[in-house]
Amino acid sequence: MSRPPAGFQLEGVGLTLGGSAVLEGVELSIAAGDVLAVIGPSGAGKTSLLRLLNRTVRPSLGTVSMDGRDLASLDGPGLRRTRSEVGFVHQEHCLVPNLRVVQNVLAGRLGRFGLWGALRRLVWPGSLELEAVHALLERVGIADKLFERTSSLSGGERQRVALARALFQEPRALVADEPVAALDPARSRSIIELLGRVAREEGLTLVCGMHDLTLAREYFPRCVGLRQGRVVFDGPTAQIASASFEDLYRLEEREESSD
Amino acid sequence: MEAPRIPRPWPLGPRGVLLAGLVSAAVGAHLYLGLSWADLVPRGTGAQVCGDFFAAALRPAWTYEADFVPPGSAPFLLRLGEALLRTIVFASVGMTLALGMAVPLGFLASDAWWEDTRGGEDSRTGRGRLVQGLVRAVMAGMRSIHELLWALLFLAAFGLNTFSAVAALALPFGGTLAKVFAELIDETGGESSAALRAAGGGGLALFLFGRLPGALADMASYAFYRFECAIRSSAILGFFGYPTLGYYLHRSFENLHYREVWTYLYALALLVLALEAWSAALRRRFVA
Amino acid sequence: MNPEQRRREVQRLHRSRPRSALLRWSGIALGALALFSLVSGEVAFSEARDPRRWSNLRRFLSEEALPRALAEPGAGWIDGWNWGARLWRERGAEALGATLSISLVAMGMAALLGSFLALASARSLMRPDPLIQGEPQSAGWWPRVGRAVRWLCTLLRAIPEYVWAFLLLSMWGATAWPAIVALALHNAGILGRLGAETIEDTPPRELRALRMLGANRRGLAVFGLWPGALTRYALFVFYRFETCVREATVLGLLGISSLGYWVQDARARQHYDDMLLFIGLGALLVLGADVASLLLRRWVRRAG
Repeated sequence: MSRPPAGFQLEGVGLTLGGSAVLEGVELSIAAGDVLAVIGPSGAGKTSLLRLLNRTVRPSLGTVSMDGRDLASLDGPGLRRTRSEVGFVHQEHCLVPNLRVVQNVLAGRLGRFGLWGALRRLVWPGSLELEAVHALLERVGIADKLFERTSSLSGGERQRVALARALFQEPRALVADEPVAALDPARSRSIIELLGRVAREEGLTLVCGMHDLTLAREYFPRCVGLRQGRVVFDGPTAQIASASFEDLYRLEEREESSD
Repeated sequence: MEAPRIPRPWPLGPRGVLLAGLVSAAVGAHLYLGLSWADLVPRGTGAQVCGDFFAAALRPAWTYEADFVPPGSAPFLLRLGEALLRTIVFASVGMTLALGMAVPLGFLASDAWWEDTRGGEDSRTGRGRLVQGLVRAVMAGMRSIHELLWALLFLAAFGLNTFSAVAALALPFGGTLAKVFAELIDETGGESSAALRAAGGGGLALFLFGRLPGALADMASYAFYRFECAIRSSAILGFFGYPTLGYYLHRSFENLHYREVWTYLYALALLVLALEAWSAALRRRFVA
Repeated sequence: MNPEQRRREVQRLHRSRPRSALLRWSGIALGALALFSLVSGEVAFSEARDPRRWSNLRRFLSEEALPRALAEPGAGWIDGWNWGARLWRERGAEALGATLSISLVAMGMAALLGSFLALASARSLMRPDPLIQGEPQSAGWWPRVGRAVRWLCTLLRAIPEYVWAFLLLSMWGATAWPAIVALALHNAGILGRLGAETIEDTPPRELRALRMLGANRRGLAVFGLWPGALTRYALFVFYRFETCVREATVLGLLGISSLGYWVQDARARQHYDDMLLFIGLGALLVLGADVASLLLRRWVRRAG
């Protein structure tokens, strides 16, 4: 995978969904190859911020650009190509439970196959593709689950499949939206570790939304703090005071208890 | 803050009230029809038919009951087998045609189709909405006319022929299947298809691989149940002269051969029971 | 892992992939059945190409199906309206009322009968310790009664309404009873099974918890079983109501005074225009019942 990693630029981004402001005045610059965590309590706008990166949502204000190109200008095939360059790992429920693992991974390239290609590859995958998928599953540690039904996997295994699918897209950036929210601490740690390692090895840009401060500080060199739709800090993890991390949540708790 | 609601001590909730409404509607309808419960006691020939018929229940026939059987006719059990086979054949051709109609109609009638093929954001375009509405109207027309009435219509328009019979089965079954297919497809969460769209997927491929697999098991299970219904309807089509079970049952009853009638009834029940057991086994497999 | 090893590993995984023989053979069997049925020659598809059939259809659509009143020279749309209004006044309105009433009475009877059948066939009730479900004891005769009732339910729902009505008609004559009882029997068989499944699906843990609070059997039934099971049962009843109206329409074909009676009557007199009108009325009734049942079910689900 020789393709260069992608960089993102968010300028004055505001987002209003259903009449309420989700993001306000977000300025964020993600260089190619950056590895960063977007942290904040639930409802802070993490998911929306991440979704802007592959234009699943469009900003109401400002611009989101990838490698200097404004994402708002894309549509049709161009949009699909851009989306396929961003591998997305969701919280959960992002796999098709009734398909086999191999089919779920192959579906990562759905946008590039076209209808007949997709039909052929998902119903009768060729041996080259099977081996490619097997190699990816080996990297994420579940090679023996190649032909299992996805619904029979555990939560951690599913997130590994989701990562394999994202990698099968041959992405230039990985975006993960709270990939460990539904997992226990030990599994969370191993998935985050895996994400970081894969991004490093592939030289991919990695943006990971999460709310576990310990994991974020341990595995991510850069942290962006988000609270009520605003960026409250952004910088190298080592330089951010512990107090700022804790403020992110403490404030929220006070607000929650007051309503 | 709203005070927590204290549950009523009365075990009937709104649903109970609704059931009570049904009961009063039933009583009202009963009065409207001027029914007399005394009529439920069969009188005269009716009493005799009733007695003879139910007396035959425990002695189903294994051979023809008539004293004279025209030479060259097949043995009774063979004819029963033929009748059952034709009943199944008519039902499965009807179901095949119905599925052929229901799959495209059900797809087009679902919201998920338009969402997936028209790319999320601007999914419900004016034209899509129009096509969807038209498809839904066609489906409603197909299923609102009972298969026997379709059969009568085809009899009047085409004359008696087997194609009319299966077409009469296929139309209402296709409409019902399509409606349920659309509902099942829309009930599957859109998360997995949204995830694939985020990965660059779109169009028919997205619908087929991101959406459909989630509904497929339920769709197959429902289609199997409808096949069971198609068997029953196919048997009844015999009453209109088609060579299915109903034809022979009707004739045996008219000839007062009640033991033969019971054989046909039991055979139909066994067929339905076997299908139910099969579909139950399949459902367990799907669920597991 | 070198490519050759990987190829072998993939093949090994493919051979040992989880799959269900039942599913595969069911698929093959059903496919074979469909194929056999299509080519068996029992259904003469060639009929669809017969030009005589199509000229029949053309005549039917262009002449017979059009209201006679409109075919007369100098007739306007007002004559068509009068024709429809007369049929509605003289037969349609009453037949529509009768069809609806038949299905209402039948549904009431089926709901009642079905609830008894459900109670008498639920595996969790038909045992020496219903609702309590302690350690398995000697089964006694309860399970046997339960099995017999389940068989009865199967027989009741396996025989179509139309056949029940046909058989009962010869015993009771052409009152509304054969139609009502036929619908009630068939639907009671279905509701009995669905109801029994609902009762069996009631989580035993809740019942046991109530039991530990010292509830007696009657208390268990009223507070543990009744609220959850009743909602589901009511939903089933309203779901069946729609089908019941559909069937009540056609039972008239046998000579019982619902809409089907006038369909058959018009057909016998070859008044195909009248026939189409009554079929259309039936379709409207079914669509109405469809919408009503949908709204009722939505209401029950929201309220219950």
